Amino acid sequence: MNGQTAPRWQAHCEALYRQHATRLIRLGRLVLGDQQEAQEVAHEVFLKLIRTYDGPVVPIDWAAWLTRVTINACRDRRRAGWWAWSRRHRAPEMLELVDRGATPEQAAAGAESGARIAAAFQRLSPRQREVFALRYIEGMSTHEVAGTLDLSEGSVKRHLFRAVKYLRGALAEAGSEGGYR
Amino acid sequence: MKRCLSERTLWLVHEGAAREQDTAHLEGCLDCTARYRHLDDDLDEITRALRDHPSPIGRAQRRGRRRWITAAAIVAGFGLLAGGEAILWRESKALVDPRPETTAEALSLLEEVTLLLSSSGVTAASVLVSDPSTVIAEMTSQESYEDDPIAGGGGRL
Repeated sequence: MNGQTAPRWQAHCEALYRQHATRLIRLGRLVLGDQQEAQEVAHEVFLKLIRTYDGPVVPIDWAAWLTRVTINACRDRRRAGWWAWSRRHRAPEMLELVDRGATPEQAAAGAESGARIAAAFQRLSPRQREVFALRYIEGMSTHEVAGTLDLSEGSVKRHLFRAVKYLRGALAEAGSEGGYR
Repeated sequence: MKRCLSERTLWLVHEGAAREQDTAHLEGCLDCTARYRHLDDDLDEITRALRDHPSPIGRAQRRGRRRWITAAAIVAGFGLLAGGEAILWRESKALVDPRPETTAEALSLLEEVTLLLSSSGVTAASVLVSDPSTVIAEMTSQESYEDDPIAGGGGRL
């Protein structure tokens, strides 16, 4: 990278960070189930972007590129032996299903319901989490999700429907137990 | 009347991937319309919860991980301690254990005792058979006989 393009590239990266960091951290949190790890992954992605770039700023779909790289980074992290081990051995009682900070009754019920859904989401398979997060949280089309994850559209629909079914079940359960909704 | 849509078909309609006839059925069926709205509400609710709610697992997971690391460190520490102790014990046992020498020493001592007894006129057989007090008295009398210069023939004079 020469002296002229470097500052331009740095400014471009900063703009990308401001624009996409929050979204990528949220995506990482949903896929990994950990806010801190999601932040680390997002920082890794942007560091990779800054370090590996070599050439002029070309107009590409940065949102899709960053999403794809983030998903791959989350997969790498998930494949790490200790991470998988710690998740497998996590005791169910360690799940915090209640937001203890909320004091009003309704807010507590809502927080509990949200926490239950979030906990149910973490019980989905990694693939189902990825597919659901990209389709419903990131708002991608089924076709785009299939392209990002290197899956067929039929496979994406199958994972997506299973995830929706499971999460609706968890939502109904949370509603019946907490009198919510 | 055509049968109502399955959950999957209803979801496919929501995704915009259903067949025309299924979409047409939905428009004319009150039950399916209500179910469709329910699905739409549920997806909104789930999406909002996942978008807004902080991960319930992050902190607990980190705490759980710390617990496992602590437990693993304790177990490893005990393992190292036990292993070290075992090695030290084995080495000290090899250094201290005098069993072969003791056996040899005991045998030589027994031989010496046997020789002494036989030279003093007390046979091993008599020691084993007779009363201990008799043997002691016999040995004492022999010693006093040897000590007596007259009875001993004045050898020491």
